[in-house]
Amino acid sequence: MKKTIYFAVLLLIIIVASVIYTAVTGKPSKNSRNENPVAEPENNQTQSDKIDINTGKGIVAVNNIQKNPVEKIAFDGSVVFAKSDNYAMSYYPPDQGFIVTIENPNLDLARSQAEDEFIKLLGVDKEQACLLKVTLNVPFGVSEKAAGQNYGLSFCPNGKPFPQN
Amino acid sequence: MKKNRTANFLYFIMLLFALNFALSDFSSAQSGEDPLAGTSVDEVMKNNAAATSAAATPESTAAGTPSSSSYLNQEKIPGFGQTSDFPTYLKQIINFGFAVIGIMAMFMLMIGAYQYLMAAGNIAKEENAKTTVSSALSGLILGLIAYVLLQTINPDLVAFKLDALKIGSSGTSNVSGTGSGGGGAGNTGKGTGSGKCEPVASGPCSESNLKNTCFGSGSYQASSICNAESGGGAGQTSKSDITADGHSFSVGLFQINLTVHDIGGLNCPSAFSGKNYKAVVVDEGLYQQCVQAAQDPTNNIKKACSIGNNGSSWSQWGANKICGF
Repeated sequence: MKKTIYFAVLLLIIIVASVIYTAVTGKPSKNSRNENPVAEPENNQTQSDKIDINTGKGIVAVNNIQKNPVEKIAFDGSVVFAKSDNYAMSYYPPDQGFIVTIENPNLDLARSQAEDEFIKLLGVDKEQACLLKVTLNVPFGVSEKAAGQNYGLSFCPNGKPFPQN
Repeated sequence: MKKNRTANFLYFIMLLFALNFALSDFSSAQSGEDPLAGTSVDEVMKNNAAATSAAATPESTAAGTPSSSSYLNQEKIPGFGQTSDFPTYLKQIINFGFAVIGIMAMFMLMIGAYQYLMAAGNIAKEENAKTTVSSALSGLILGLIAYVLLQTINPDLVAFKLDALKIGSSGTSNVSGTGSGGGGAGNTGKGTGSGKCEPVASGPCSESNLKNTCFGSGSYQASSICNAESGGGAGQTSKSDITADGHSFSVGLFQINLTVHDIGGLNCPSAFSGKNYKAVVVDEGLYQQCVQAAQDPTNNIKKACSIGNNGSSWSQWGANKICGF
């Protein structure tokens, strides 16, 4: 009888300690509907010199900017392929989209430099660049007035000017 | 016997607190926090002076970043650092309580087992020992059930997300979105700028991607806020939200303020002394880990969900001043 009680107490201690440990160290929130909300990267084109971008209006072959990225963002495969005081450019493989972020309050100057660099790095002409899915935007910290909009490439039909001060 | 039971119950409560305290410490150590890191009185006074100064400085509120509240608790809760807001302090007290409960429960179990061993066949002593053990166990189980119930009802109840109680929260933001100033106070957000924001067309912050996250039907607003805050770049570190020693403290898609928020299981505020613009990095290694964690889109989106109550509140973001959600 005593042995049974000892064993039961020991077992209970272990179980309770395990439960507390699990609770304290934290399990995933049930509020999260998706444990990994970001799509998995596509790695099959990372080593070739060119990558094909499906634009919906045909394929555009661009230089493989995934090959030597400035920095690679963990887990989602995003690559920052150009970065300066004026702008940052990233490529997101899951939707083959490009994001150009203006980081200088002199927006027009920074945009001009960014667009030139974008075309040069991708090895495409302006016509091809306009087929790509490019988001060009300005963070709130750089310009409160211009933030929150997609301006596109200025030489493309969907390109918009920055708001005037 | 009744008196004995009451005493045992009290012992067990204390034991429960203690055990949880030990486990919390272990958890803190895992996340890179040094629970025993001390701060001298001079440092405390310095911090308080800095916090007071920050609150009085116009730019500390003009940027949409939280103004530092003017008080840091002088007496730290064991195992936790200083804090300037009441909800965090409350959370520390409760977590400390849970830790004490755990340790005391374990202690009482040991006492009960010892009493049982030493009873030597004395039925009265055996009964007494059994009562001690059963009281400790039942209390421990009760505490656990309470925790599990709260976790099941709403995980925020055990996470103590009490942002609404934060000192000065009515006029400030816990997520940055700074830059050209413009009255960060309020941020109730009915477009004072150039109108509504647009969602990001590509990347982890695109509307289609955020639809599959905790933002769900609020993905349009989330994507737009993300666009305004970071431009949708996961690696974005703010060039305007800079600490006193030159470190960017707003990072990633939703520009999470690392001086205020933990992210990816890391206790990022402990990497700083002070908050926001007055902050100074005191743990460079942890700071770098926090930056990396915040640049991970998955972490950043999850944290943004948590801050924005899964898309029901956008007032925490300074950029909502122009988005107007």
